[in-house]
Amino acid sequence: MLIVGAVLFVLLVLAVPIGIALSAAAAAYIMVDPLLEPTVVFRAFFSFIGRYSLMAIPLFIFAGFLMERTGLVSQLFRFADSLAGWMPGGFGVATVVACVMFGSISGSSVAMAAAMSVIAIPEMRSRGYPDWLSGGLVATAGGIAILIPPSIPLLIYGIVTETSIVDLFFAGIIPGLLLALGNITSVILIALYLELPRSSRFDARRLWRESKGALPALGMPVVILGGLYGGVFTPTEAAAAACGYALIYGFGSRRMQFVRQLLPTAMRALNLTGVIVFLIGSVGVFQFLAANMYWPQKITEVIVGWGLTPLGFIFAFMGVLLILGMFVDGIAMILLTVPVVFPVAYALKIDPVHLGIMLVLNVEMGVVTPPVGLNLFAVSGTSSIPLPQVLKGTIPFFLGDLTVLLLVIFFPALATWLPDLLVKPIF
Amino acid sequence: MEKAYAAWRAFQDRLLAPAAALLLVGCTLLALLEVGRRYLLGLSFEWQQDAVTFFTLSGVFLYFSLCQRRDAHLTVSVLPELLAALGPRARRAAEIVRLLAVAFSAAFMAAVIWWGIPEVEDAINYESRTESLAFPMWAFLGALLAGFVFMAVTMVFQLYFGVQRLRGRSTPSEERAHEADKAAH
Repeated sequence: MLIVGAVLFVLLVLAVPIGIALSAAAAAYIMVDPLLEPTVVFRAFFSFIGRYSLMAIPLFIFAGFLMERTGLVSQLFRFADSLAGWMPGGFGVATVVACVMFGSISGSSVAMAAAMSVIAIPEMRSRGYPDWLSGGLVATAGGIAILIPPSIPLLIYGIVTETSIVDLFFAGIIPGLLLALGNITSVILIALYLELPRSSRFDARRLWRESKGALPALGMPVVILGGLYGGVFTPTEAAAAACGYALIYGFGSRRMQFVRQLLPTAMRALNLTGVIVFLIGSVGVFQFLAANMYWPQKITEVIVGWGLTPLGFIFAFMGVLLILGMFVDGIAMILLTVPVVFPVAYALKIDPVHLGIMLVLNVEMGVVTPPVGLNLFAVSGTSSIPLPQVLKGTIPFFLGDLTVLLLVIFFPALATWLPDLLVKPIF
Repeated sequence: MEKAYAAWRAFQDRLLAPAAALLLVGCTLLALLEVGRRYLLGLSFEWQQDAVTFFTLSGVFLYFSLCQRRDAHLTVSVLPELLAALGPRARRAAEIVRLLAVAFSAAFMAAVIWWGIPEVEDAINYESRTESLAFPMWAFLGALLAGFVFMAVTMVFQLYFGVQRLRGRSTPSEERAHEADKAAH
């Protein structure tokens, strides 16, 4: 186990792609083990990803990109502005509200941060918001997408740990809304302190007009969550239905222009899917070896032997994740830690759904922690706000996110109450 | 070598990428059709789940090499980035670290391809099929093998151009192409 760990560490430090490092570390052991054939590397990779449930990932990613092509982000933003623009820091609040709504369509945090920075930051600049505030807000609020269903990180966690994806999706809603609430509170307090001008007075007629425009976009989460709640769809079917909704909506709103964009949009979705599937397949190779060597059981025995309480274990794990989030992308963070940590958490009787939500909350914070904070780069790159300014702006919102994480750690019901209430086991 | 790389890029852009995209779009429509058939008509194709799973995956496998070309595969890039920030000499060291990573990756992919060939042969010899028995498994295992081969070829090109850059030789077309890729995604 130590040899594999050392090989993995060296390869990761040498900037070998994480997927290759995982497979190669496993292969190094397999090659010296007389009972294992190296061909299992290829077989384990293929077997682990050859599952219908995994197809929810490309389909949800494709649905998100398709919806983005329809230009609905600006439509959602106008609706959010008419809803919340009258409040102190109203445009910032509208940005957070739009992020929540877009998060219920797309599961990608970076895509949302990039899209939002193009739309929201110029407007905030024109209304006198300092660059650090607008950049930091968009970078942090972009992370909400990965908790509000459909969420790609939750899907991956569910597939790797065989936890109900429907439960995980519903479990993400309350923490996601709490994150939004935290961001809204922070932006209002900052706006009051900086005495930022309010954009406009509440206009019910404008709200009605904009809500009609945003209605088709808001229908998609109803289809996904309603279908999952009603037991009509499996997660993969819900993803297909989301694609169908996006195709119908896109064709209805943009006609042939949308059809011409279909293949390029599929290619964009494949670019992201290719990265994720390669990584999941490599985890399959690693898990095959770990299961054959009984590593999860051995690690569990050692850690349980330390006498850690579940809460102590959670804090230790969250600490590791916060540090890891500075250096590793969120999906890699899940796939590198979950195969080792999940059996221990299971032995300590930590609810898998609760663990998944805490993990993804950490991923959400990891997107704004340097040096590998992808949302920082996405916002800085698309808005030309210098990176240190964006980073400075994320600090108050990051503190809010940390508070939500602590709340979810101490009150597991924030994650588990909604799935317990809504999702009924069939058997 | 530049001509060979241009031809390789054209193969990826004009053949691999559209083929993969068509597979994804086709499987999306099939999954959608099945949702409609099952809930509206109470009918179902028993091969649908296998078709959606393995044809979508085949498209993704074909796309692996394009992800590699765009440096999209996730890495922990702390060491090369730290070195790159330290000065010109350390920047050169960072380039060498990156090249070592590509060289190792190419060698490992070659090994995986070598190990994968008997798996595809076994699938042909034993006529193994997907769960619904509708499709032969060798076709999809072959797609994965092809995906790995394309990825390894891309790595060899990246290695060659990386060495050229280290030797101070210009690789203008490759760099322009790389920037265009980044801009497109």
